[in-house]
Amino acid sequence: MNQNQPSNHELFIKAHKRHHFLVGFYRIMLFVVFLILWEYSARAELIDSFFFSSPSGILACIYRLASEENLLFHISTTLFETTVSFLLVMLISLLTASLLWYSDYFSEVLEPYLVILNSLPKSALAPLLIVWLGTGTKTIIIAGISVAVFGSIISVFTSFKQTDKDKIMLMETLGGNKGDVFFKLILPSSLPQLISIAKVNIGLALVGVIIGEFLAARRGLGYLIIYGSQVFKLDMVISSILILCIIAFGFYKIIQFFEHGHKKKNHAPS
Amino acid sequence: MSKNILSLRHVAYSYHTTQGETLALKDISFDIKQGEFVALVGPSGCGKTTLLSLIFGLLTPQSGNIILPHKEDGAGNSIGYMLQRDHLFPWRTIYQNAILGLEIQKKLTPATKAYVEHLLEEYELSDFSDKYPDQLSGGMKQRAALIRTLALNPDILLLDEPFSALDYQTRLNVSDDICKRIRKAGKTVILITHDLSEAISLSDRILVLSKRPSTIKYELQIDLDDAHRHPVRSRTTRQFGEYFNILWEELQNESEPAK
Repeated sequence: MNQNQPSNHELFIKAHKRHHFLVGFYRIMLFVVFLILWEYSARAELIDSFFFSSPSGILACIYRLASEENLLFHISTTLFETTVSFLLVMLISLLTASLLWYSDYFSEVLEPYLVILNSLPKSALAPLLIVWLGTGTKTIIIAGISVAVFGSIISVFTSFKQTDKDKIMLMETLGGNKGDVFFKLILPSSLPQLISIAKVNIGLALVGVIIGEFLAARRGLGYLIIYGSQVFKLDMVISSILILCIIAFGFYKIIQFFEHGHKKKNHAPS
Repeated sequence: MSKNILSLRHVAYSYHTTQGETLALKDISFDIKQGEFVALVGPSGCGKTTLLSLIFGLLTPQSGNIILPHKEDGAGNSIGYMLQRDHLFPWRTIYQNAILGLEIQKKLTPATKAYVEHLLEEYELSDFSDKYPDQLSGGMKQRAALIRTLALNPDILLLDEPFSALDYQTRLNVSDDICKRIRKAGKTVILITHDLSEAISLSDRILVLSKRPSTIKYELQIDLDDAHRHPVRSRTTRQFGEYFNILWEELQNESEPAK
């Protein structure tokens, strides 16, 4: 065979790599151009940097927060509360959805309650939570859970219910009981949906935690935002929001990592 | 003559909805002998699948008896049920799919594992045992599904249109191949099919079901020598046309529009 000539497959790989490189490149370019425009507008006084800040102002502000206000402590508080809320949301919704799946009676009885609780604006619950539980970490975590958990239960339950009836019958013809059906069929076949539900939940848990910190905390990024707006330090507000963006992106990447691992294991095209 | 492995006596079954009761099967009686290959044909919606579910025990008959003499020795369920589509789980390899039944029934032993490996070899799938279902052709997947059923070593095999999801050419080859092997292994088979030629070329006996509420309305003994038990070669025999016409007439009477 001719070994100097690149094969069609090598050409395909090359084109594929080039595509990925270009997407990554434009992503970063977009961010850099945005930063440059922002900085330029602030310096040329096209925008008022008191209200809109500027990249250099934000860097200075983050440096000051880190050295004087214990920024890392606030970040880790929010990270911790969000992670705990997220894990509890996943745990509660998996357990509840399993019960709903296990018993048709249970799911029929509970359905209207779930729908109502899901459509309720959860921030309306926050004042009640503060009165009931005080203003500690517990309240914040429960606020985070309350935003995500009902929708998550409904989504997980729906994905359980979507499992092919014929495959359930197959499990029965092999002598499987309800537990076998659940662990060997329902759970593995719902895994892709569970990962996308996790993606939604991590975002919602972050929203809930920030709402909770707005109302009831003395620490965390939500507290920094509220505090910054009260004392009119908009640099501080925008810096905190920027850090929140980075946190959300980080969480998203972590779940995407699990998703890739799962896809690789199953030979599904990514 | 070999003894009966399965007998149905006056079996009836109906479906209930809030609108009322639909009688699906009424008064079904027949015997299946050890090692026999029986095909069930009938108009669509006549309750063939319901009948298999009753024999397997997924449903309980409303009246009548299903007698399985072999079950009396306490050897457990000796019936294997194969569905229309392969339903291999995409997250399991072919081997892991094949041992699913053994895993569920907690019968995974070195002996049963060796048996599965032997089956994979016999059905020419051993090179693919670590592959995932989406890397296999339709015919291979159907063979893998059969191994999953055979792994439990059933005496009776219930096949519910197992070849209907395959394209025509694959279907002829796979049905011939699979049925020869099952015959060789001495299994008793009940095959549901819509395809009259398939029924004639594969089975020893054909039971024709009437439309709902269905009952056995006709029974046809098939006499073909082994050389002509083939989906294509059987068509060259003198009897094939005769059998086909008889079955066609019987079914034609059944599918006439109701008054």
